[in-house]
Amino acid sequence: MAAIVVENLVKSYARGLGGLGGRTVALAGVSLTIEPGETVGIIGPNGAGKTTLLGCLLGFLRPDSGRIAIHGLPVDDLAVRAATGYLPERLVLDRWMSGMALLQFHHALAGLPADSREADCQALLDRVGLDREAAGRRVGRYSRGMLQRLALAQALVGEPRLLYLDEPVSGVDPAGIVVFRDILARLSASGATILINSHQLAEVERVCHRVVFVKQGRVEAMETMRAGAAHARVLRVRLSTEQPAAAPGRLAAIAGDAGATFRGWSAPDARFAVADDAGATRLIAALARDGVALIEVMPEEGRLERLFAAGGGSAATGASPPGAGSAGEAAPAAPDASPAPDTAGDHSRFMPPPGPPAEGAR
Amino acid sequence: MNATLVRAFLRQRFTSPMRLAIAAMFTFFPLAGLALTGQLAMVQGIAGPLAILFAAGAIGQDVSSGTLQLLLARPVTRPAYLVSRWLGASLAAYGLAAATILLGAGVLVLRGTPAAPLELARVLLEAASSVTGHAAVMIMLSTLVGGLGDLGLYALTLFLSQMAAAIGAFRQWTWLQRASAEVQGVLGPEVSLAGLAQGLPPSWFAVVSWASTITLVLAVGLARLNRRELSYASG
Repeated sequence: MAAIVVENLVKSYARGLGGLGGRTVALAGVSLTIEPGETVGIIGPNGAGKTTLLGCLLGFLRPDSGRIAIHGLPVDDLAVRAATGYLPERLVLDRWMSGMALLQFHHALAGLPADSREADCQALLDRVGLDREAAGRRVGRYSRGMLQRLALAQALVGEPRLLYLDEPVSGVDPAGIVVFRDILARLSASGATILINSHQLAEVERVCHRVVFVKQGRVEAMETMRAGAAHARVLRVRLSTEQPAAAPGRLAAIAGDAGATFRGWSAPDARFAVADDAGATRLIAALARDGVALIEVMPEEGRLERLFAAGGGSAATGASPPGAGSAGEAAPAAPDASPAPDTAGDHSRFMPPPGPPAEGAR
Repeated sequence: MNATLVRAFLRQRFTSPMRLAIAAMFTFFPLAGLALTGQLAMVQGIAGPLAILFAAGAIGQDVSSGTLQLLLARPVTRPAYLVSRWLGASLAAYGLAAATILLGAGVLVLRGTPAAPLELARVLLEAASSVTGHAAVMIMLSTLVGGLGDLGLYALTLFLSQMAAAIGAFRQWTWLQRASAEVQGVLGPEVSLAGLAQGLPPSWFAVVSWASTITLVLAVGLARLNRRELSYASG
């Protein structure tokens, strides 16, 4: 059974007093299926309907029409809520409580046993990297990054099987991002279904199995990511113009020896596909060793950035008709193991999700 | 009812310096009056204001701040949340009101004019009815407006009903006077047990009226809370 099924969801908001100003359509027929253990990112421009979709999934908003089922149950079923963790975009934690008291409060609300409360909450604080001093401090005195960590810990109370994260790494320092990735990888490996709403495209690309591009209240495109694909990239290598340019054949040979792929030449830039970060290091070292005068190496923008820049839809994808493109309707496909494609047309949109990655895959 | 929510609400209300300062003012002056006059009646009117103080913003502040989303993402139903807020506010206010009344009774003992046990029981019971009634009304108002808007709504409604009563008296419109009295009755539901000292039973009409008003305002609050959408986008 699918973890989350959304069918033809429509949601609009009244404008003006009593709706006299008409209605603004936030979701115009969203259909989506998310399998258990899948990590799905929701991206899209501001006002696309991402937060509204999340609000409907959490039961905070009532759709005008359409259907949502969480493991076959309605969204407001208490069994669903008991298995749900939610990290809101606005860090609206009770500021008068200490960090530890807040976690204990949510632990109790989740109906978890009191005898393990303190140990569970301490473990969660350790997991997100908040020390004992911070645990005893009032939430109102937390920095933005600490609030984000505490909010994540709150969302993780009770090891949720469904995790909704709204802008989870906003304001988090690099160390916090590493912690976030590790937690998500472990949760995903344990079979939890995770939905991430974020504008941090690189992070979404790194942690998600699949990305849903929402625009004007519709699912414009879906992008299947390969687990660990964030490391696979195309490098643009700028060569010095003060020396004779290396022949493309020679560049291709060097790349081949370093385990990379030569993708093309457009003076003064050469483009190479590498499998991972180590492959990038090998390629750069090989080019330097062979006397290629390179002056700059930069990764090309990620797949999602290109998708975003293209507005989510090419002629191949278009708007998702109700019920179409849901992952559960297509046959499974093996994860793409090749380096990231360098053309927008290579997107595997409307593809079914890959299975959850092996532990530590990301 | 959710005991975790009630406990957290009580802790939150009793760690708010502003609320505690106002509560201290509410209790200090009646106690001082009691000490001067030797009348227990001086403290019997504190229950309603204390209930309004502790219930103000009970739901509206959660809605405005967004913390309600986090609560309702947990296995907590909206009715359980609303009833927990009502009970929390009632317990907080009654705890303080009862303590003040008992302190007043102690002062009377020290003055050598102890209150009659039946009189003390009457004041305590009336305080209980007043606290639960006022808290229910405030909880209902708190579902209608965000933040501490319920306080303003209460004051406005009270002011308008008193204005209407004055106009009714001036123009001798009994219907307007009656309507104003009804509105004021709804704003402060309580049971008068004045006959208790004489051994008379309470008026069942008053008890039923008080209970039905509480039920009605809580039902209205619940209907509003159930219809409320929780998102800054929906606002």
